[in-house]
Amino acid sequence: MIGTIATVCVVLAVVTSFLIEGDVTEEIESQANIDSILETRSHHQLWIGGGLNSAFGLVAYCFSGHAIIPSIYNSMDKPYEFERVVNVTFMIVVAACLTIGLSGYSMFGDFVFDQITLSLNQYSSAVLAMDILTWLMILTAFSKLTLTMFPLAMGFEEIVAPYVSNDSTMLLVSTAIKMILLFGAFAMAIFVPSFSTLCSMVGMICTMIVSVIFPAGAYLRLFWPKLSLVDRIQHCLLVIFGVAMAIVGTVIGTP
Amino acid sequence: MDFNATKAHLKAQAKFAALEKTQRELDLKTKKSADYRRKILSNQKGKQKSKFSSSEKTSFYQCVFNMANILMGVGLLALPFAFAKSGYLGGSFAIISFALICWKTSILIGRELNGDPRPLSFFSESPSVAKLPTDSESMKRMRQPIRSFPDIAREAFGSAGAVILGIVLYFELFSCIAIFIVSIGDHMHELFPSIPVTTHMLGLTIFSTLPVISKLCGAEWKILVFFTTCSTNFDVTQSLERLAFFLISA
Repeated sequence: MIGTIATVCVVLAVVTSFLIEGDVTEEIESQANIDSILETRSHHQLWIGGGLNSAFGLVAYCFSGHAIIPSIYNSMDKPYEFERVVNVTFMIVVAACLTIGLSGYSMFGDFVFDQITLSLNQYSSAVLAMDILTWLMILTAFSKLTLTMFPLAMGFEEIVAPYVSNDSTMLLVSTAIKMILLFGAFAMAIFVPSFSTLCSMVGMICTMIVSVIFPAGAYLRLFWPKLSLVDRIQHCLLVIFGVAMAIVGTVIGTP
Repeated sequence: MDFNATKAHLKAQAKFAALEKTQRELDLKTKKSADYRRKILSNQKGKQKSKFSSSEKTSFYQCVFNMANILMGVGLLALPFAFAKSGYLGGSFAIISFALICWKTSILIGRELNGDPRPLSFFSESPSVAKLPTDSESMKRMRQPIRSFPDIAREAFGSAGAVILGIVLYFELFSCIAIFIVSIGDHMHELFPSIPVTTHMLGLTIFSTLPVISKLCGAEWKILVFFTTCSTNFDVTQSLERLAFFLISA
């Protein structure tokens, strides 16, 4: 529930501060370096081809959620309405993504940080509101961290459970597993310090496999004899696209 | 000649027995794992309501809400940065094209779960909506409906496929935890700029191990137990309720 509130708040905050304060790139520039103010350049570009791969990674991370689809499908009252659910959901999500992306970029230009709330906190005039928003984001991320920890630790505990006989040892073992996972994640966080690098790496590799390659590949494998030629070509192209993007992501992610 | 034949036969028998033994052990392990999962889940259910419990069915708009909620997470914060990397047109192009692909694959997963490549709306139970003639032949699905994500992998690519998909899924979860740690570290650094990001992340990691460790300790560690309840179900009202209860009982 807190996640929903946070999402709505972030979208509203970005849109309202864009509407109120408008383009603040020049102010930031004059704050940053007074000397070189003579060389004026635009802080908004129309098209940067070279950054497209990392943009794709970030967008892919944003759209990763296919693993939860079976639970939603199974919980549905009328499963035959599922495709309509997907249509409506994607319309909402794309609208939210475009809104937050466009207004955030128009406001901060290429001075934007890799998390928009950080930029808002640093440059907005409504200090208290932005502090509250930052705290809300921390709470959200923390609650999601504990929620994510549960299935992850569960997966490892299930592997270990058959080898451990009594309950108190199992408690010790599961504690050890959670500690190792947490400190492992901490080590990864130190090793790849930038939020955007980490997101775009995960987006490129994991999301491409889980959300693009796997569903299209499984569809081809399961229904091959029944599919028309157009369908086959279409889904083969999807798989090829996914594999290409995953390879590009891996190459870029490990410099 | 005869002797050799018996030897080979015995060898084969021994091999078969060994195989049978490993199979039995494997079955036992699977059963124990399943038992463990059931136990933990039943413990968990008392503490927090499962969002997708199979008993209650959800309506159209609840499903839209749940799915949108899952798709829009911390990743949303990075979108202006994606625009900054690739420009107005580049960012819009990335979002729209990737949304189209994800929309397509979500529908594909739905059809895989249903077990038939035709659109799901054909399989409506009510005759007024059904677009297929309702005789049994055309309503017959190509496959049995599938229930979970790993099951799709098992059906399509065998057990090796399921294992690989599991590894990727768990790696994604693990990286998500790392992403949350980085994000919280950055935000904390924004609020308290005097402390470096790494210290914030270390503090956070230690803080999140507290509830885990507190389970090992006895009942006298009430404050730690309070942290446990606070962090495992981070519903604001519930936490306040528990805080009040804790204050009264202390």
